Amino acid sequence: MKETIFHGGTIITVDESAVNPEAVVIRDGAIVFVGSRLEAERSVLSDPMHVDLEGNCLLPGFIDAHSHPLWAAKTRGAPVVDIRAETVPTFEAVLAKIERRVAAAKPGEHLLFFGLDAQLHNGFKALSREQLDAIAPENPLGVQTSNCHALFLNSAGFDVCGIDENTPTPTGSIIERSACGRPTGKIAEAITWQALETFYEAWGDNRLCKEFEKCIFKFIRNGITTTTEHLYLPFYKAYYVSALKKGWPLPRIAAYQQALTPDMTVEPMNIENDRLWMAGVKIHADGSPFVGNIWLSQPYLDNEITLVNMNLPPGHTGAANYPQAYFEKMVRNYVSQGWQMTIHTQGDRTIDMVLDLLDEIVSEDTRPVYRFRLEHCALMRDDQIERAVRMGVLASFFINHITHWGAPIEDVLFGPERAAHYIPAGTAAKQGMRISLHADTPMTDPSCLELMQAAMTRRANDGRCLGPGERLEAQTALRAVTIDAAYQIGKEDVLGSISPGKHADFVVVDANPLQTDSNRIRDIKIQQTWLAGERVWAND
Amino acid sequence: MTEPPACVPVITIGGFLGAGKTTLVNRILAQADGRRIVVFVNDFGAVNIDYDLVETVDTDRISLKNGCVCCTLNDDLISSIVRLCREDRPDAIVIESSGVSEPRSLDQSIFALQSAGYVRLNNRIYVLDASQFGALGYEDTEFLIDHAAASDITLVNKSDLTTDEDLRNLESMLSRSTGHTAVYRTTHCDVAMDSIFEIQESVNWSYSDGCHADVERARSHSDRYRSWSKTVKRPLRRDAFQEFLREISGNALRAKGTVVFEDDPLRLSAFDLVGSRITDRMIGNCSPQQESKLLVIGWNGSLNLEELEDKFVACLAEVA
Repeated sequence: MKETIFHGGTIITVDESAVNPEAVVIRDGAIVFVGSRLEAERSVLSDPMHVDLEGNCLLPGFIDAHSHPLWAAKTRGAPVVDIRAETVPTFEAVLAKIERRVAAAKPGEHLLFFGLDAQLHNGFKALSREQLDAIAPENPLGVQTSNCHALFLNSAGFDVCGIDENTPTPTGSIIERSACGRPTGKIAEAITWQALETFYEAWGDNRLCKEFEKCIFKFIRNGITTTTEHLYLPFYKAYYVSALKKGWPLPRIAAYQQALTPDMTVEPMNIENDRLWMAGVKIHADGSPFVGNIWLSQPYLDNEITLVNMNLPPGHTGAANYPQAYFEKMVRNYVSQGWQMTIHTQGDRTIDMVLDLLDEIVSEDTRPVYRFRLEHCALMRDDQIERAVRMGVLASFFINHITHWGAPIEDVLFGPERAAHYIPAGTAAKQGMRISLHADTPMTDPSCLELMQAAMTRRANDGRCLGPGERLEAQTALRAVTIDAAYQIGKEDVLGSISPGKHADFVVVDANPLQTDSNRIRDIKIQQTWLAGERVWAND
Repeated sequence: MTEPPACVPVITIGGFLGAGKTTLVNRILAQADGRRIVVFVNDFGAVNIDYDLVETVDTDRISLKNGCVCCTLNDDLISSIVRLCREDRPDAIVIESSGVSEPRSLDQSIFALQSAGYVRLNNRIYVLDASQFGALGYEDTEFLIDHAAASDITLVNKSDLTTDEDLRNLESMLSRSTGHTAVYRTTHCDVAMDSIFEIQESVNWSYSDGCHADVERARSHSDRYRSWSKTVKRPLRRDAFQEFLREISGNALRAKGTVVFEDDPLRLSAFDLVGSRITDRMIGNCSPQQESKLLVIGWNGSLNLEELEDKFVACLAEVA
């Protein structure tokens, strides 16, 4: 038996039944007591370890409700070259960086670049196959966009991925082609992720394991003890099981399998007491606002960036990823198997379509709990929030869009009116929805404190505030990365608060986020991370 | 008009081992002209070589050793700066980071100190050894370029030790790869301090004569710079002015001033542009008819004064 008593600091339980306790006792990985110091000492059965918080603050371990840790290792881990705008400032600088990497490449070496950004890379122009062939005539080369949804390939890249004029475009994907059907450089959506696997495989498993370990520590260093692997595929399991066997501090993972076709097998599992479990299925109803493949009732703004850089037609309103009947077939199939559905929705017309379908399903079926989730929800309207709340449909908000792309969202893509309600977390919370927030790593880096700050300030990187009316209170923001996120992944009974009976997952921070200036939440230091009763990381 | 009690200006100096960072620090100290500059020196190893080479009194030379200011020594740096600003406020702070510091992490610390009102990030300078660059491999050169891209000014130093052709190639590669970072060619970091480091933040600025004391000094150091200033009574259109700043950011080394916007005519804002970085802040209420004043300093060859004037005039609000 292993017991530990935590005391000597502020304890924020995120559990209304135990406010400001003096001490917490854990036994064999579970919380057994929350209350006064005296009673805590009395409750132990052995000679416990004492953890003096030394004035720091103990919180439940953070939960990022939508992420991709293994996929992030693949997508952004070395030897992928980082060309995100925060590192490589202009489009010309991107080209220079690609050219230098090609000059240093071995014959046949597979080269990938991550982070091309039509909105943030000043001087951006869409890359063509010919242009990339001129830069890299021999090496397979791919340039992935920062939103992850699109990939530009050269001819050698198309060859190794097996995509040519005879390749049919899979349902739900995009291959841009010339009049004779030859791919012209850009592919988007599901085929992007399949093509990238060719590159990852060429680099081998050792590379992936090394990068996966690094990625796991990024989450743990940021106090994230539970997250998800959205777009999980069955072959991921081996990497996760191996990580656990090696004793890496893998955050708990709620797996949401990627739905590509209606007939995939989804394996129920729960490994090592909630370290990895199959939570449900993820499906893309539409794409990325930064690519232009989301479905809208009001068009994109028309300007140089949307018309030229993004190559959208004037008055573009986008479309859903899948033909409606196909989409419906997929959703119905996985719902009938009993899985929770998490549905990628960005445009408001997409959300209308999805809510209509979910309404229909609920009216035909009598299951007590569905917990349908809508993911990201960039342009969800107020009436849709009201309807979702009525239906018990939940929203998980990709709030970092505001920090990273706030300026182009307002100035270039949608205008001030829509920007003020873009990612409407405030309205959803006010309407009583149990919302969650996410960083969607690899798109942005994992940090629940950054998520809280983004939701509480809605401040973009250039300092502007997008829609002060949508800002969250500190308490709501904290719930959105703890107990309400636990609710969304169906684990509120064992995760998300410091309550007896739950897993002993904690984060120790040097300041109380409920009493910190909202502009400085991200500066709070993570001091320790505890997972299943073990201290798995410390800032010392 | 006097600005409110000023924050301590901070300059950060990055660059790989041997690039010339300490030379630059000493050059800045030699031009301090009676002003008190405190230098933080971050030696990565346990022996503080750079610290010993910084030529100033011991009390104004603070060693951060055996770690790196961007990570393990970050807390030490922040607490030292806070203590210094509270108890023994200098005229300026220079941070010489270790050769391996991640500049973007250091920026975050300075921004946090800035938002707490202690300091103001004045300039980020990256020193690069031109004579060694060509001998480095891909990984090393990428490391240097990535760090240079995070600076406001890159000094292509030791330019006397390499050929003109190599220098031109290096400069054009850097200009292409680092966005708006200004690239200067130097020998022994011979850059005029006043062009990169403005210490007297609370100085009374006199614009009406078109010149400013610092600019005069800059001119006396070198005829490489030129300046332009303007005082206007009409308020500015906010969007147009922000666009103006973005446009000039490629050619101007520095621009600053106090301005009144049409949409908020009773408030005065201060702005500051260094390289491509623009900061602005509200500095208080003002009377109707308050003048807007601004000053731009740029390279002699690249700052077109007529064009600047035209672009600025286009920012003025319509007369009611």
